[in-house]
Amino acid sequence: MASSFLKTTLRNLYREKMYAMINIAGLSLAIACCLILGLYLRSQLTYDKHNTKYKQIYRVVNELNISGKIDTFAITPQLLGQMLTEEYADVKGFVRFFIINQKVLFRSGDKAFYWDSSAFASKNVFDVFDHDFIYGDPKSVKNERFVAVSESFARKYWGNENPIGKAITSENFTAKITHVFADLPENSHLRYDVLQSDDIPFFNDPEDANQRRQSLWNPRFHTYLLMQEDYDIRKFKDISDSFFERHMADLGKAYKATWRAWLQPLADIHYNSDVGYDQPTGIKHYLYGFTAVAIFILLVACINYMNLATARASKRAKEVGMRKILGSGRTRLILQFMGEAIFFSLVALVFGYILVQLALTQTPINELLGNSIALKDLNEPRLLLGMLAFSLVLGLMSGIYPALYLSSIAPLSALVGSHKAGKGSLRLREMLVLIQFIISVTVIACTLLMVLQMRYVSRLPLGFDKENRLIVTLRTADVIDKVPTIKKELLKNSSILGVSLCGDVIGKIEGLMGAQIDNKDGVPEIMTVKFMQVGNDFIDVMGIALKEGRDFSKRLLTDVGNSYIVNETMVKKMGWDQPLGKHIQSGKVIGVVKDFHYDSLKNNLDSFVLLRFSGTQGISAQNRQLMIQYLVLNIAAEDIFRTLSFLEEKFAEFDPKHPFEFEFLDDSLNKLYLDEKQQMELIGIFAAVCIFISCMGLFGLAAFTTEQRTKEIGIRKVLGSSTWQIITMLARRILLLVFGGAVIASLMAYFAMDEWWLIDFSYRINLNMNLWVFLVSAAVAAAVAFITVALQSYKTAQANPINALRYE
Amino acid sequence: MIIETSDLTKVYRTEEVETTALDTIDFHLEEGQFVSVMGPSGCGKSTLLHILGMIDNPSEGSYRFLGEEVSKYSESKRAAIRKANLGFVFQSFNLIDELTVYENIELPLIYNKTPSHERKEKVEKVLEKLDMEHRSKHFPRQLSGGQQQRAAVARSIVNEPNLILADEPTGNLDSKNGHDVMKMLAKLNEEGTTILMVTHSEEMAGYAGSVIQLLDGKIVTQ
Repeated sequence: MASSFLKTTLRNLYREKMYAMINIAGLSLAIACCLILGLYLRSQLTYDKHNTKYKQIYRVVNELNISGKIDTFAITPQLLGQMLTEEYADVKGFVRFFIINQKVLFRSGDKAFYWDSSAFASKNVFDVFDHDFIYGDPKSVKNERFVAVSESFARKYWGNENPIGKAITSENFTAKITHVFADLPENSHLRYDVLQSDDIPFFNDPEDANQRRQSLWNPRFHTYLLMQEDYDIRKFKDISDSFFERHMADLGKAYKATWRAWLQPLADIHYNSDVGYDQPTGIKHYLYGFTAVAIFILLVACINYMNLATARASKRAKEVGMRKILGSGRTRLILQFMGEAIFFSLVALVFGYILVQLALTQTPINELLGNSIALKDLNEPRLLLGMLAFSLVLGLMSGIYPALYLSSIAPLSALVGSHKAGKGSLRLREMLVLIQFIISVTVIACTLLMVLQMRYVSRLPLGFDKENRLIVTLRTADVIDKVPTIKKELLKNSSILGVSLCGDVIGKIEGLMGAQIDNKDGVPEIMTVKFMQVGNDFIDVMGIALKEGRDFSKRLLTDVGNSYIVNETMVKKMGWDQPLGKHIQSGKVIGVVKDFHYDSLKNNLDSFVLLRFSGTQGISAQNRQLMIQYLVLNIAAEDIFRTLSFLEEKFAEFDPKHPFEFEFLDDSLNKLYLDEKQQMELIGIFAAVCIFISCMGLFGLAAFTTEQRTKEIGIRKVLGSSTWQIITMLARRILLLVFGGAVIASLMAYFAMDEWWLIDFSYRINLNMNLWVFLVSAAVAAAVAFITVALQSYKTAQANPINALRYE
Repeated sequence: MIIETSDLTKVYRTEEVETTALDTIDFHLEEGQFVSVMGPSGCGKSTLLHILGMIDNPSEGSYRFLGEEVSKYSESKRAAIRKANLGFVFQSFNLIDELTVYENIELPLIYNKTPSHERKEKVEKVLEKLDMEHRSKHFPRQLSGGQQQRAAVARSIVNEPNLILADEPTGNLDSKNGHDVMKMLAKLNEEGTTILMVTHSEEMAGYAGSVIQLLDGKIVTQ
C-alpha cells in the first residue's frame, strides 16, 4: 500500500510541477525559519544551563533604600558571600566575581590588544562554574594563583602553542598563564576572556571591624551562592533580614538607609533580572516575539498547502470518485492524502536543512542572533530526530484538512464532470488567505514601526552635540595628569575645536553617589544621585545649554570639589525654587544645565550632577595604574582621517605604553540600541519571508482559479470584456480580502508594538500620529497581491477567446 | 435475480426547483442477461445506472441486489457491495491518470485485499484476454480512446464481478472502436457475465439481448 501511495504521489508531483514547487518552497522556507528560530530560542532559554550545578547556584542581588530612594544592584558587598556561608546553614558555599567593565590592555611581547571582558574570581570558581579546560589542571588552583584565559585569547597571542607559563602584562602587573579554557558559550551571562583569582592585595578583605562594617554598604562584587538544589528562594528573606539586623542596621540608622537582598536562580538571570549595575540582560518579550514569528511563518506555509490542495480538488475529484466506485474506503483515501502531505513535508525538510546551512554561513543572520547558533548544532542526533518529528507533525497539520476534504468527494463527482467546490470550502479557503494576509500585514506594519522608532531615537535631540565628537581613553593616573598639557598641544591644531575631560562616556553613565543634599526647605538629606566628573570645558565642548548660573571656572580652584552643576530635572525633583547656592555635600550648586540625555533613551531622565574632576592626588599607587578617564574632543568635520592620524601620533608621544584608543560618540551611542536594531532587521527578514510564502500561495491559487474560470473568461471576452477588466475581475475578491485583513492586522500590530517592543523605550513614537504606517502596510500587501494575481491571469486574459471556449 | 426494484424514485431538489429524474421504476435483471437502457437525453437512464450501481441512493422505493435491500445503505456499505460484485465501464473511460494500465486494472483487486501473487495472475490473465499486454506499462494519456476503453473494460472484469454496468461505453469512440468494445462486451456476456448498459445509440443497443426504453424518468417499454 505504501509503495502504491508513494508512486501516486511522485507521479502527481511530476505532473503538477508548479504546485509541487510552490508547496515545497513554502514548506522549506517555513522549516528553515522555524529551525533557525528554534535553535536560537533553545540557546536563549538554556542560558547558563551548561553549568552542571546550575540548579544549586543562585546570584545575590540587593537594594539600598536611602531616605526613600531605592536603587537595586547586581553587585553586592565584598564580604557578603563569605559571611553568609559562615553564618547560615542553608548557604553551602559562595563564589564572587569582580567584573571589569572597561577594556583592559594585555601585552605579551610585542603584541598588545584591548579586551572587553576580564574578571577576578574567588579560587573555588572552577568547582562551581563549569569550564572546558584545554590546558592546565583546574584542581591545581587550590595551591596557587590562577590566571586563566580563553582559547580566543590564547590564539591571539600565541597561535596554537601551549601558552601555559607565558607571561602577560597589564599596566604594571605581570602574570603567567596557568590555564586555558574553551571560549565560554554564547549563552552564558558571565563573559570573560581572562579570569584571575582574586587573591591579590587590591581585593584583600578588610580586617578592621569598622572597615568591615562600612564595606557592607559598598557593593563591588557579583556574589553567587551554592544552595541545595531547587532551594525555595522565598526563604532567603529571613536570611537577608537577619543579616541586615546583625551587621548593617546600626550604620543604616546613621545613613537613614536600609538594605535587603534576594536570590536569583542562575538560569533566570539573563532573562528575568531587572536590577541595576548588571551585565547586559536579555529582554524576555523579544523571545515571545520571535516565537510568534516562527508560529506565523509555519501557519502561513501550512495554509498555503491546505489552500492549494483543496483548490485543486476538482482535478483530483475524478480520481477520488473512481477510487471510491472501485471500492476504496474513506480511511484509505485519507491516508493517501495525508501521506502526500507528509511526503512534501519530508522533501521540504531536506531543502529546509540545506537552506539553514546556507543562511548560517552565507548571510549575517547568525550575527543578528548574537552568534548563538553553531553549525555543529545542526548535526546533533537529538535535533535531527526532532526535526524529523517536526516535519511529520507539519505534514499532518497541513494535510489533515485537504485529506478530509478530498476524501469526502462523492463518487458521483467522477461521473458528472468537474467537481465544484461548495460554498463552504470556498469560504474556508478565502478565510485561509485572509489569515495569511493578516499575518503578513501585521509583520510588515511592525517592521515599519520599528524602523520609525529607531529613526526617532537617532534623531531625537539629545541636549548635546554628538556629531564629530571623539572619545579618547586615557589610562593610568600618570597620563591623566598630563591632560592640561595634552589639551594645550591638541588645541594648536585648527581641526581640534575643543577638548575636555570626562569620567564616563555619555550614554554609559554608571557613577552613583550618596550625598547630603539640601531638600526644598534647605535641610540636608542623604540621597543617591547619578553623577559624572568632568573637566572645565565639558559643557562647551558637548554643546550643552546652560540655563542658569555658570560653568566651572578654569581660574577658580575652589570649583574643584566644591561646585556642582545640576540638570533641570534635578531642580524639579528637589522642588528648588532657587537652585543656585543649594548645598550638595560640602559644596554648592553653581549652575543648572538644560536636560540632556546622559543615558540611553530607553531610560527616563533623572537627577544628574556634574562635578569638576578632582585630580589624581591621594590615589593609591595601585589604583593609579587602574585609573581611566576620557577626553572628549570636538573635531572639525573636514578631513577627519588626517585629524585622526595627528591624534594617533600625539597620543603615542603622551602615552607610549598604550595603543591609541578612540571611538566616535555617535557610534558609541548607536551601540546602545544595537539589540533593537538587530531585532528590527530580523523581524524585517521574517516579514519578507512571510509575505513571500503568502505570495507564492496566492500565485498558485490565482493560477488555479484562472484555470477554473477559463471558459467564463472566454465567454466574457467574446462579449467584449478587455484584458484589464478580466484581470480586475479575478483580483477583486483577493483585494477585498487583503483590505479586510489589513484592518484586523493594523489592530494587531498596534497592540503588539504598544505592549511589546515600544514598552522598553522611555522616549517613543506616538502610534496615533503614525497611523499612516498601517495604510502603507495594507497598500503594500494589496499591491503585492494584485501583481501576483495579475501576472498569473494576464496570459489567460490575453488569449484568444476560442482557446478558452475549446478548453472543455 | 440480481436486481429487483420497486417504485424506485429519484428526485433532485434545489432551493426553488424539484426535478424527478426517476419516477416509480419497477425493474428486474436476471443473471446472464445483457440489457440495454435507451432513451433521449435527460430521460434518467444515467441516473438509473448510478442508483443500480450503488453510486447514488434513491429518494424513495426499494432496491434489492442479490436479495439484499440496499436502498438505504450508507456509502461505506454500498462501497463494500460494489467492490465485491460490480464492474463499471464509463463513457469517458475514467482511468486514473497517475496509474499505468496495469495499475489501473489491478486497483479493484487491491481494494478487495487480494494477495499480491493472485493479483498478478488475474491482471495478466485479463490483459491477455483483452489483448492489452503490450500496453500494460503505458499511462492513459499514451493510449487512444479505444485502447483506454479496452483497459477500462479489463478493469471492470478483473474481479470477476456478478454484474457489469456500462454507461455509454461507446459515447467517446468512433464507430469502429465502438463496435470493437461492444463485441468485447457481447463476448463477455456469452461467457456468462451479466451486463446492464445505458446508451442512446440504437446500433450499439442491438448487441444487447433486450432493450428498455426510458422517457421522463419512466420505463415506457421493456
